Amino acid sequence: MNKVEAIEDVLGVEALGSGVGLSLPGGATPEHVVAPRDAEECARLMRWATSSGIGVLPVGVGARSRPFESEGRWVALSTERMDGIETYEAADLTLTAAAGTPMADVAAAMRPHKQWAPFDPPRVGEGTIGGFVSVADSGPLWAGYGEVRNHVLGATIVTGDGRILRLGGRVVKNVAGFDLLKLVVGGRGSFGVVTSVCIRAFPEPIEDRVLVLASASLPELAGPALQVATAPIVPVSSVIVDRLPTSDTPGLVIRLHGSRVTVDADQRRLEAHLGLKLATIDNRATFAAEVSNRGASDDIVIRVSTLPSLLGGLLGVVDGAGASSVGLDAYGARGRVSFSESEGSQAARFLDAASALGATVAVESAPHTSPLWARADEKTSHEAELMDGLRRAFDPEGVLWPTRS
Amino acid sequence: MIRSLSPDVIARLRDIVGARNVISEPDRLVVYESDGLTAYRVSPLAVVLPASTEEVSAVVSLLGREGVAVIPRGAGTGLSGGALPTAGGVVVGTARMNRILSIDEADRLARVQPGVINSRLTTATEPYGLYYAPDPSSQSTCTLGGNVAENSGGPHCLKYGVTSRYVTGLTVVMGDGRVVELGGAHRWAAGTPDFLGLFVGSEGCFGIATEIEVRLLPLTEGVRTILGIFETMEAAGRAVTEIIGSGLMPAAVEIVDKATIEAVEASVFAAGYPTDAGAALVIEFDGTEAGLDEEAEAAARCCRANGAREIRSASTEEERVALWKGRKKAFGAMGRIAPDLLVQDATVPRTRLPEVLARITEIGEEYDLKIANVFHAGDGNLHPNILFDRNDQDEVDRVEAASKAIMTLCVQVGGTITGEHGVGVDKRQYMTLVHNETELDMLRRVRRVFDPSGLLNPGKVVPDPDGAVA
Amino acid sequence: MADTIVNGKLAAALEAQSDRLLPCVHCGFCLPACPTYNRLGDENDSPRGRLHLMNAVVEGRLDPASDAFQTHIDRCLGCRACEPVCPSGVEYGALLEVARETANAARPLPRLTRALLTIMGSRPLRSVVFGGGRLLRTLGLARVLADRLPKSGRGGELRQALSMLEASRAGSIPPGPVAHGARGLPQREGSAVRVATLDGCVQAGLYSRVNRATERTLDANGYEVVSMRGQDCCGALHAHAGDLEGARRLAKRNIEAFERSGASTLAVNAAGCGATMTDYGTLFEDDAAWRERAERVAAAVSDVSEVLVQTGPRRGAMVECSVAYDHPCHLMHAQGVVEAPLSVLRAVPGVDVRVVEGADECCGGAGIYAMTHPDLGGEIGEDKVDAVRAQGADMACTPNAGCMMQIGSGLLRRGDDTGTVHPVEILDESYRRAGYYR
Repeated sequence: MNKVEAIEDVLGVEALGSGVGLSLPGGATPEHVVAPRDAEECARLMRWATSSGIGVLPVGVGARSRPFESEGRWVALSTERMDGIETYEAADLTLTAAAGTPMADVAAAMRPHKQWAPFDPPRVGEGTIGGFVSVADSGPLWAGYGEVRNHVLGATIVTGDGRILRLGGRVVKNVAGFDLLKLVVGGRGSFGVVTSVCIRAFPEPIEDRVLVLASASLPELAGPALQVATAPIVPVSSVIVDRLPTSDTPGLVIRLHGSRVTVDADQRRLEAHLGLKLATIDNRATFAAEVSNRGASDDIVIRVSTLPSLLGGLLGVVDGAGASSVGLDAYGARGRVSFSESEGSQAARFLDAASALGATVAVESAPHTSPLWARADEKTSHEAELMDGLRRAFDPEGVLWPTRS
Repeated sequence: MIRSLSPDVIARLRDIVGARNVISEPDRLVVYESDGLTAYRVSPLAVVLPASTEEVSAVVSLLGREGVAVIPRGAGTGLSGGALPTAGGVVVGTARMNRILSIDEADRLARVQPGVINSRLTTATEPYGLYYAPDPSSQSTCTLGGNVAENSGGPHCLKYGVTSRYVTGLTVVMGDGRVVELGGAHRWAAGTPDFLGLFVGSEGCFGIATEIEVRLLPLTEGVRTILGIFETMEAAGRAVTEIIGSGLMPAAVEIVDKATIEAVEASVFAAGYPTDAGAALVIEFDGTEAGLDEEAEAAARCCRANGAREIRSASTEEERVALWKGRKKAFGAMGRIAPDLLVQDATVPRTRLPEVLARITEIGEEYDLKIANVFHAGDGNLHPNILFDRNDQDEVDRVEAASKAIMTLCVQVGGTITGEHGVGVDKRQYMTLVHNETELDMLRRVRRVFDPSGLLNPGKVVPDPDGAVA
Repeated sequence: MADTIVNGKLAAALEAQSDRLLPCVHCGFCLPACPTYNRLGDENDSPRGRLHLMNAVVEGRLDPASDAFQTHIDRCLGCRACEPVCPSGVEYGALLEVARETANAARPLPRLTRALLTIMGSRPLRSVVFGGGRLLRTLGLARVLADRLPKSGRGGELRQALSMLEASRAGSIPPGPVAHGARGLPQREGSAVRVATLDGCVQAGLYSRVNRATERTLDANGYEVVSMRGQDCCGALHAHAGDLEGARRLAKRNIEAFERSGASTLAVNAAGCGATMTDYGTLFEDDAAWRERAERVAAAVSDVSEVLVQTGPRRGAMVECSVAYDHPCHLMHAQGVVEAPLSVLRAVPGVDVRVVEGADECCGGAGIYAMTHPDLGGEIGEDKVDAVRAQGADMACTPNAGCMMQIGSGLLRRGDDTGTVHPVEILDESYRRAGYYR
């Protein structure tokens, strides 16, 4: 029996995916693309893969991740057919959706109820909810709303050996057993295939104000950025960009949410703390979207993080690095720097310089042939050990991500 | 099971932590036979009180080599028996690890030892204009190590989130005595899976956190508190739903029911709540002073629109304390009117609160028990308090049965068996209500990854595969 | 357990306290309030732990003669800081006294404690001992001898006693003249509230200046101070040590003396005495003949600061000084009196009142604790002395004889001679300068 027949046998013909629109990691060429419709189908597939020694690469997650080369045979698993909002309890502020549901659909469902998911990583509206949860990148709005990990209430996953686990639930507080959900959120599909998730919705802010401080250079923003990070109020986000959508100069973009009175008062307190006036932006939505995409707009994307008190030094390094795009969350002292040149020598120099400052750096995206990928993994030895142990617990035969260590 | 420690092991423990800090005489171990849940009593073989990561590591590795179970203990305030000794085990207490190691004003981080009391961290950081947000009701006595183990919540977690949101890094002594670092505020870029988040709430089964790095927040400028008095619980529940859904972001929304009001008002802690009311709702807003009146007024409007017969508001700290009194003194008041009190903990979707409360009242009648409800209404976290007398075996059995009925009910409406107190020993029997055998097996597997020897807090959280819970 | 029948008998007194033990729900809120738990980290040395030990005795699981019960019940300071933080309102102080009575029945008190209680409970012995003490103090020998004694063992206990004696010398209120043109207060009009004052044992023996200041300041505030003939030691030290019979014997004398005095208020200038006397009702709760009388006296007892605050107190002349104020546990925790002594100090122009950090924690004096537990009492005392000195004030100030001696002796050990004063001493000096006593 050839593999296609086997897969058809396991999942039914309908399950064979088209692969259209799939964004596969660089260099990856699956033998087939499989698109199960639900957790049960997914579990059958995983059990079959485990027993027949076939690798499975979940895609739609980690698509921008490191190059993928497998020695063995493997198939790609797409979540595209697991699409649709399962339940949306607006009064409870919870939404449960199948993993392949586009984030744009989630936003559209929430909008009529004046609710939203307050996360703004680069291009958040382009992916699926499963991918969003697997990567768990909160964006700078974490300062005001907390991280994605704090707001995923439940998930259904299928483990490497085809067991279905319903983790968490749909209540805000839940400590019934070890919090395995935390491995799913941000786990990049390492521990299982996410088939459904429940996230928390938030009421839209009454007032959303975007304030800007333009500057001649990035290093000049170090002072104001630290002032914002130590201000008596915490803006819901504060981002340093190399180019403001309005002026083409570097700038600090601050967002305040709340009632109108509160936001007015917060702006006054912040301006008093900074000792200067901030400009108000009118076309907030487009502006905010452009800002949140800064740093991730090119072939090579480097993630970098440090502490707010050390952000000044990092800005100095970023300033001379020749980056094509920069977006750094000032409150979290973390963000992205991208480079356009293909060989990545400037990016490599930036990685060295940032590391030398004690910052944590990692390659998020680069051409799959790039030598940048050879750079050291940021995991410590015991983290690697935990990773191995936990992967064995969830995926005893190493079916998922078959070449990953 | 090990029945006693050899004199040699005791001598070596004394060498590690100092003779004064090893308690091994049976008479002196009686005090450690329970934590905040007194329904269970097991004396440990010894109690060891180390003062540093190195001492914890040496103690844990010695006990590991001897095959002796280790039970971590903070202030022993937990209500699920998480720090209940295991027969043949040794309690490792963090009472002496009570130093605040550093306060980093610019980065808004603090690094503490696990025995530091929750509210003392806020006291220490206030001079810098900062505070530690999670505020379990026991914050004046519970330790941050215990908060990490239980992933503790508290009234103000509605707005600010629970412990896991604030823990940025941990130094952990693993079951074999190795010392490892998890997380770190500056390590976002590494994109490591959230081992830190997995550790928080692991109830002492994955390791002992010996240093804790937490995020601090700037002190809020102002606070407004209002108290709404309602004829019925349903009306109060509707008001809560409307307030939360309106875009207002209250810091805390707490409800006490009729039975609780009666208990409090009959006690020395009388707070002046009307005893004929069906429910009292405490709503608090904090943040920038300028917007608070408007927010409090909007919440008051929601209450009135849903039939509140009276709204009281506080503008001074004394008035605020007075409004909270009926909520904060509830457990103590009930402790005084009944010989024993079981503080239950469960979470349901907030909109299901009214029907769940009505059912709980019926369950109380069915089993002839007095049940009073106090809860974090904003996030659907219920605390039904069952009053009883442990010397009445029939009543104890009915408490058991009623608890199970309440847990089953909460799970049926889409909730869970514990929102913030943890599973410990008490909730193990209910774990099968929320997890099937496949999921329980995964919990066991993950536990073995962290602690292959199985000597860390055995007998907690996950029921044994054969269904045994004791 | 060796002999449950004997234990059962011993436990009977505690068992009778079941209603007081039951409200404890083991929540642990008392742990951080406890000075011994904070330093030792052993829950046996926490209020919850001690209540658990008491319960274990009642349940017949623990021998009251056991080392565990004896040591940990004895090691309690009795500061009652656990009471205000208890959400269930457990009356820990009352329980502790009964637990100590039980412990003493199982194993007699140490000789030193017995000797101290005998002295305090006997007027003739007191006058001899304190008379000798005053002589040593006046001659400056207390300090000389204390310096020569070893720091530990019996010598340590005596050394501590001598250094406390030395510390009872008058504090150093900076001198100042009587105000120009000052004159006495006008004659009282009409009938005044009649106040009796407690002389006390240690106060009468070593702090007569505080007693005189108490009488003068009350008088200056319009009270009629009447004598309370036949009064004795209040019995606090006996009650704390579990000698409840001894305490009752002394209490009866005070009850009778107060009834004879015709006063409506009994002003007490020592927090420890006040705490015990406001609790006389509990002491006689099983004695139908005395209970009501005891309760009436208890209701009439007030700290002198509370009495003064009721009428003002009247402002006096300027006394420029700074004081590091510490709350006595038996005022703050046992009687809930926090503001009144501060109001007394603030009635004096020129006084800079600095409440020491951690003023709500015991100084380690705790009656005779500093003498019976020089190690732990000393450690707790050192922390208090650090906190007092951190204020950089001219002198320490606290309204309780035991605390004054404990803090004062700690200061002396650091070579700090500034001394310790009672708030009424400063008010008294202010009145003197104002010329109210002319």
